[in-house]
Amino acid sequence: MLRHALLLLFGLAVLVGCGKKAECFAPATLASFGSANDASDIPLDTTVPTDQQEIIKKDLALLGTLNLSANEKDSCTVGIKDFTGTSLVQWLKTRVRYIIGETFDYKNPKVVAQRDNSNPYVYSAMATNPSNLSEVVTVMTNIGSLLYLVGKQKSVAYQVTINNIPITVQSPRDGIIQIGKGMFSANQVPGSSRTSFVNSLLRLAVIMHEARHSDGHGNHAAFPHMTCDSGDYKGNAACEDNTNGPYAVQATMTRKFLEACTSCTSGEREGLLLLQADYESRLDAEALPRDDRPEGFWK
Amino acid sequence: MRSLAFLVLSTCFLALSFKSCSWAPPPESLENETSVAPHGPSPAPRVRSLPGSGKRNAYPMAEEPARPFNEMPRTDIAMAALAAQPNVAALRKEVAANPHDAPPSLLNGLAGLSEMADLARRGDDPEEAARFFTACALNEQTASAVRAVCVRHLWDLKGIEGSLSLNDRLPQRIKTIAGRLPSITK
Repeated sequence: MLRHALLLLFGLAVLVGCGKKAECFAPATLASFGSANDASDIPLDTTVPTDQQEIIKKDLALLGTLNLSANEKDSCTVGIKDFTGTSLVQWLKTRVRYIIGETFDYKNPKVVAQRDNSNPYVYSAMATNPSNLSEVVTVMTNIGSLLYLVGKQKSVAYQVTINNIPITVQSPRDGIIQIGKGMFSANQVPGSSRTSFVNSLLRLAVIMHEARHSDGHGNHAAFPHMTCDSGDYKGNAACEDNTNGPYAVQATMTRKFLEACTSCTSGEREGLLLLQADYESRLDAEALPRDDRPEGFWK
Repeated sequence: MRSLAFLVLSTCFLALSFKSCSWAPPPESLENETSVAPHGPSPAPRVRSLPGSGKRNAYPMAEEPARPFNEMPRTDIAMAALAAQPNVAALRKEVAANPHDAPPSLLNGLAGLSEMADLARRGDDPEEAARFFTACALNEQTASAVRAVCVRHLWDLKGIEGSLSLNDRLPQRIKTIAGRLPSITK
């Protein structure tokens, strides 16, 4: 009897141990491109206005200079081995490969292949203009994931042309991210300039959120958002049930950026704290870690 | 048979004791704390209604019947900061239009919040800062993110043990969010 009880306890311990182990998925290993420690060479399409290009290149260059503390939980959430500038750049470059502007025409992509059918999820990333609340402006959208998932639904593969180069979307990891004017107006700490350190960090957190939409597979391909079933945003598609999805990544990175924001004013630090709290509030109480390996033709 | 009777009786006794515990008033640690506030042991706090409420002492508290308002801030600056915090109704409208990003009005009360955090950090008037954070944390009409930040600051100021009477009155989701926030008050 005692032996059976001990065996049962042992079995339970193993199961619990396995469960814990499965919470962290191995960081995906897709080769990135260009410089290993500078993300500012991510190609920007000509549809990105010059003033936006200047700011976003500086933001991307900043990422490689950061050296943030690491722990296992945060590494699991983001799917990264550590938070050095080089790792952050590599992480970003495997998920964001092209940045396109607000006027980029992605609505008429060329169909280049037939594909298997599956269930897609589609999401958008818009923002309300703070100076005109009735106007909704684009902050950032992961167009590559959108084209991949719509293509998946319609059993086709789409192709778009970026800087005269045809790109066939074979996976959310093709990383085509659209940037809009909301990124430089809605997404900032009031009272701090557009080019301030804190607002660069906020934009980087948004980019990393969108980058996470390039991951995941099956029902969680592109880490879709879900309707909140409680909290302030109940009934709106403003939440997620992943502990390692885009909002979880954005919350983690905002907290880590706060750590780096030593030269920030107390108002700026408070702003980062408040935004982290907002992203945390979007995580469902029963959120689970999901397999973040990316989906695609080449899988 | 005697053991059974004993068991039944002790169960009843325990159940009644538990019930009477649940009727006990909540701990008043924060009220006690106000008696050593720099303003002196004066407990007739100057309390004003918030804009739009129209009633004195009409401040909504989370899951808690009306209490004396010695938890409300006493200075104009703190009251203004409290009134400036974004409310859930406004956020909901913005999120309905754009569910994806942080609603712009979330940061509307940032200046006041930051001023209160500075007050706590400098140690000029920690009791007033604690009253502000308590009132902010308990206001059900305030955005959850703001409430969580206020809880975080209060924990930093008073310690989790020192905030027990508040913790008991907060929804779990606010405490969960606050628990994930780093300490920046110290």
